[in-house]
Amino acid sequence: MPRWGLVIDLDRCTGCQACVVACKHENNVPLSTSAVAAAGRLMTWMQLVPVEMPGRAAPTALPLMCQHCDRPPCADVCPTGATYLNPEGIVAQIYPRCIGCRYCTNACPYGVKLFNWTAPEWPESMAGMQNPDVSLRPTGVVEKCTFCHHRLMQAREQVAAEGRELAAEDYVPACVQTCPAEAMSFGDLDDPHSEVASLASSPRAFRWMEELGTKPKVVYLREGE
Amino acid sequence: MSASFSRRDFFTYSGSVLAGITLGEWGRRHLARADALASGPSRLPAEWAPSVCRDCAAACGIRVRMVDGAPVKVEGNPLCPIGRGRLCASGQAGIEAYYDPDRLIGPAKRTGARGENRWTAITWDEATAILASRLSGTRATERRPLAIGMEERGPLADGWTKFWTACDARVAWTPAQTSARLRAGFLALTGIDREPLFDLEHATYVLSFGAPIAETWLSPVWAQRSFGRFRRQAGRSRGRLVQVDARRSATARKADEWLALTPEQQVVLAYGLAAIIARESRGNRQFLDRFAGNHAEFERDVVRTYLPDEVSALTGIPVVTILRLARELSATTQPLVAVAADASRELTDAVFALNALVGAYDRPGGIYAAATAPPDGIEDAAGPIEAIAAGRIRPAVLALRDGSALRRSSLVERPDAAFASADFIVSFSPYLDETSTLADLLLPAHTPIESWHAVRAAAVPPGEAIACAAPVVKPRLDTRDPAETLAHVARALGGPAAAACPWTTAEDLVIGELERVGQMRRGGAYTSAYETEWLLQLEKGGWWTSGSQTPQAFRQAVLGAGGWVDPFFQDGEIRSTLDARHGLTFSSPGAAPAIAAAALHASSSAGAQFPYRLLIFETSASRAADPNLPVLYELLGQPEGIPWQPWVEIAGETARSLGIDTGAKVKVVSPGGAMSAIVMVVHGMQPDVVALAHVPALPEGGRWAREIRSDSRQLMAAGSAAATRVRLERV
Amino acid sequence: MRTVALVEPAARHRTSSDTGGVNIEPIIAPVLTVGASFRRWAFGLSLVVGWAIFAWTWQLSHGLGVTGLGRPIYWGLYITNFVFFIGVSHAGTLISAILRIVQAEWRRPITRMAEVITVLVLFFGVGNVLLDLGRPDRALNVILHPQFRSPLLWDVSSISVYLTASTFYLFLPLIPDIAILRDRTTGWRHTLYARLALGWRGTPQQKHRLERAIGVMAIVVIPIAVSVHTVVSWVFGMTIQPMWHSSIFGPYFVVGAIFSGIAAIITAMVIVRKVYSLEEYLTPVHFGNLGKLLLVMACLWLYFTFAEHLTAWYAQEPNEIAVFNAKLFGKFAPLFWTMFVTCFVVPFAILCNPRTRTIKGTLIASISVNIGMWLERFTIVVPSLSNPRAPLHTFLYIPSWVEWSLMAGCFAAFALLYMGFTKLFPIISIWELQEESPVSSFQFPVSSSQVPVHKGPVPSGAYSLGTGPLYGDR
Repeated sequence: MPRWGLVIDLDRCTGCQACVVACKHENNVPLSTSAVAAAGRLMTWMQLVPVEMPGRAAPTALPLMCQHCDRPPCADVCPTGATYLNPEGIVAQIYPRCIGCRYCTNACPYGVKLFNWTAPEWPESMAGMQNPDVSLRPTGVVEKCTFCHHRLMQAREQVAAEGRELAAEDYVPACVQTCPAEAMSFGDLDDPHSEVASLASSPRAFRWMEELGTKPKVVYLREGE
Repeated sequence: MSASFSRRDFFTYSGSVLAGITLGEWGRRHLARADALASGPSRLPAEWAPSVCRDCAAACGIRVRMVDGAPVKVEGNPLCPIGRGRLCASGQAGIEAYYDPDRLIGPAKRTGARGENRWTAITWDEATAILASRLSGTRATERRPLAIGMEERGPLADGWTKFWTACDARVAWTPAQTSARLRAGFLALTGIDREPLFDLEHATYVLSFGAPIAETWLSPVWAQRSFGRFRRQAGRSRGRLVQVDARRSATARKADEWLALTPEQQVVLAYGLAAIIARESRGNRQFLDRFAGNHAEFERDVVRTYLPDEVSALTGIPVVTILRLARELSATTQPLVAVAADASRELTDAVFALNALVGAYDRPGGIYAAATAPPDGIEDAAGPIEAIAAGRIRPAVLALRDGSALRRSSLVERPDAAFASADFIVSFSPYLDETSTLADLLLPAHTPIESWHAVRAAAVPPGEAIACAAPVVKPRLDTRDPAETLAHVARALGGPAAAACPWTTAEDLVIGELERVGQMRRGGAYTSAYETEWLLQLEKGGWWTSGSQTPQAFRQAVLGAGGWVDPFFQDGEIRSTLDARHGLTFSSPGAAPAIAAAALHASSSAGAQFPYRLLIFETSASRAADPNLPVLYELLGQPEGIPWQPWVEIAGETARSLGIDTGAKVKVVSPGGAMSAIVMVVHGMQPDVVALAHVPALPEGGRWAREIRSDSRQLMAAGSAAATRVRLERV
Repeated sequence: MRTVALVEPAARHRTSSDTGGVNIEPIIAPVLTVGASFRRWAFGLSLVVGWAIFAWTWQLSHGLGVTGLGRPIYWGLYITNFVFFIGVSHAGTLISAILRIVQAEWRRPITRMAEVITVLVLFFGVGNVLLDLGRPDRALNVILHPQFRSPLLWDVSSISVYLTASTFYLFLPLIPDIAILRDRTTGWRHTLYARLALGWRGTPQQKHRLERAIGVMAIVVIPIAVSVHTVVSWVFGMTIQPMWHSSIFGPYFVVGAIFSGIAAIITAMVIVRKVYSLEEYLTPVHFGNLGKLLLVMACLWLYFTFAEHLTAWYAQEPNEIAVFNAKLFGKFAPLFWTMFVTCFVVPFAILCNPRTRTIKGTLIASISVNIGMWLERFTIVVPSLSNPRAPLHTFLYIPSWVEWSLMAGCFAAFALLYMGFTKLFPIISIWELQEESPVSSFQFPVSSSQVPVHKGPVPSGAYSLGTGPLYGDR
């Protein structure tokens, strides 16, 4: 069973936000207005946050998405099991089961779980750009990064049809795929030969807020020498 | 090539050729599949159609995901040599242009007063007739029509030029931020009239003078990819970056060291470093001796004029730091000095000179000349616009090819003032924006994924590329490609215009270009990195595959892959481009310190009323044609923690003196106007500089654009932004 | 063994004339009559409730977007109200149970009022959680797909047990009084009371069983009540968020709950006393005693608040201190210091002085404490969320009109229900008063043989009431 993980090399990352747009379009995350942003209701599964890093003069723009913790605080507190750690290490969210209590959003130290305050809205003409592979979330439920799980399911179907094993490049989340600085790698952390596994063991590797014991599967590589 | 042809190379090449001959198609397919593991597919899956991003001059290849005939997502084209499947934020946002709810739905003519925004829909035939009658009336007059667009190189832009030239119009362009802008400086130093290509990827140490190398430098996706590889690459040590920039740009944030210098001070520092390298004889002797030139004279001059103490006094950088930087730069193996595309000529000259001193030409991690001479220069639209604003010219017809052509020009505060004098304005923009609102006739063009493309990509390694693609979808609305519109008008006009415009549709122009390219018998359709390498090896071995296809097959291959490329250099292996016979001609460092000192003095004595120098900047999110790409508004200020907001960066000292901190709201007041912005305190900035993010406020634009209420153009005194001074008031 | 005579058939149906010397008319009268003032108030409150129902339907149709909440301040007024109401619920059951067990005789006129608060307010506590749900239509998923690691589910379990227990605890002592009403009414009231009286005839056996049941419930309900508020605090305490993740939260919340509960009882008592002219039953002694209790709780509350904040401040852990500073010196400072003044300074100043510990004084102190405790809940919920660990863009949470309307609706509906209760049942426990009264007046003709002054052990089957050990048969 693979244990999917993501490595982000902050030394390569330029903070260009291409990943943010890729995620938004891939996962049917609705657009916002300035009022929505000011009210704290901007929907972004992936965003850049300014984080002070030791040894850096300026705050680093940290690409932040669900950290897919191996010990997810959000899954512990969910009263209905709508969010849970799946066997492949992806923290999943069952939208039809979610009651919208927002306990998970408050328990998550990374603040990466988002609540649908209103029904997602697109201008009528833009409905065509919704990805048919990803369900639209109804109002009142919590949503978050899924590591583009639908891509995994598609890849599984395809490799099954082609009668081969799933290879690393078959399943890549949208953010990783577009990253212009090639700062992101994705793969099976348990596969010792995978790129992510070797990068995750780099001396530059750290997990954000790992001191909280959340055991994230998003690994960052420190900037600097 | 022969100069560095080692035995190892011989085996490599002969082996490749042998492999090519013996393994043939089987070997190719087999190896190509193995390579697929590393560099993606060599053909696009059926669900994806290739197109070209037209958000900036980089012209990256994109692929559009089609679901039941509807475009769903834009990603980078994995075959495109610029991005190799990677794409920036605005490139991906391009799909929103197609779906924009506020696009023009078809041709229209003005019914209310100019700028009143009242229109009547007309047919394309009516529109053609109106424009034709306008143009036929201007033939005899002194008041030449003027046609303005965003710079573009390719048959479609040529078609535009041909038409307007035949109509006796002046054709001007807003220059793109590409290396074409650095051509003059490069020509002056090397005597080669080509675009300089910066091999950022293989540099080990980069000293950047305002170059946004981690952002949108020359070709954004290329810059980002190269930056990533420059920083971290297997088997190489980490690249070190020193950024000299007036504000803490995204690149300055990423840099290992940031020096906050104004553009004038940057010139002083560049020559100051050159002086130390010359004084300490740290230059790359081997390189300088190869190109005799006037380097000795230059070194003497620069040492005499730029004394470290003086440079330090003018820049505020300690002498030890200047010495250290000069030594670091000259002691590293593959240093590169980068410069912003829109840098002043003095700074460009200084940077190219500094590069010459450290021998950063014709080697990996250095500067090369592009393989082919670029098309002729263009007329900068700034001149004509200024002339209109000043009332010196009064065009009978003003044609605007892109809405954003003027938005990026800091010359006009608001275009309406400038354009009021034009008798007739025709806009080809697909959107209502600040310029098309003023038009008399709207002839909306397609959005990129509905259009034919053949456009020369901004010149960056690995070489020359022409992005070509057929429309991905049928036009959603009643729009028309300007080339087609103009062809109709030409036919209605007859005479020289009709003769100059033999095409009917944009497709004709693209096919014509592909025929021309096919006849060049070099390069080929975009293909995977592996295949490109393979073809190169075959060519090196004498096995020329280019041009072996029929024109039809060639056309299909190029359109199917999304473009044509001549990869004239590959990783770490460059064809020598500089010619020793020309030598190097260093420009005189001149009396730059005096100029800089004068500028500094002027700015410091500019009076207490407006104590800060205003610097206006764009981020990668606020660039170009944003108003119809709503997702980009969200990106604004997001990494800074102030989403959807224009912000002003001020130094820590300034913040303290005003008693404000990050997140506070201030009013930025200039002699010309005022606007409010959120404060961001940046430690290390010069205390007399404030930097304001430029987010275009377009009350005429789409629904998202309307949410930005004020922008920096309101602050600009007539003339240049560089001279604007402001004060800050607490709100 | 049957030393106690069975009740004479003739005496089964006692009327008010045979109530053992206690003048119960002032207690019964308000139950059976509805005055103009009552109607006016009921009408006014119904308007507020109606408006809240409109706001609620508005929220149901538009989603939680109509609140002032956003990321990262996901919880606001509703959860504050939830914690507050659950806290107030400790008024009744816990206090009355404790007083019952320790046989504080002065408790008798006030237990009913307190217990009613508990039961009613619990509904509003739970209701506020439902208001806060993004998908109230799926609330049953908590039962269909329970995930027991979630403290919210502990809450669900604990509160439902508490609600059940409190309802029983309210109902059991009501039975004899309902029987009294049954005997005095006709029509629908009679039908209702007859059904609810469960055939109460006041036989010693029934009394014995009742006392026994009440006794058991009084003991059982205490740990349940403590658990409820502990678990509520754990909703916050079990997360790793700064200033929430605190082991002191359990007792801190329980103390706060009792504190606000006593204040709520006093407030209710003053109102009921005034409105229904029950000065005869609710004497300054009651207020004085409760005032002292409130004073003790104020000191305890201060101690816990101090301990909690000192720990955060002393350690200077960056994430904690950010919340700490926002609370004490930042944008929540006005709320925090108002809370401090209203929760401690005002009640302490009033209640530590016997001269100001009057009915009026305790009322002022109680209202102050109630405001303060609401603010305390707010300053626990919102500042932590406003200062998340991750450097997210935050905003100033200002509750929307919907939230305020629903909050007003909750208070109005509570008042309305409380008023409604007083019109159905006596707000002062008649029979318990009667049980107490024999000491002084010894007028309990029917059961005078039931050893009202008996101090020694009571033979099994018999029962001692009055000042004797309540549960002496154990």
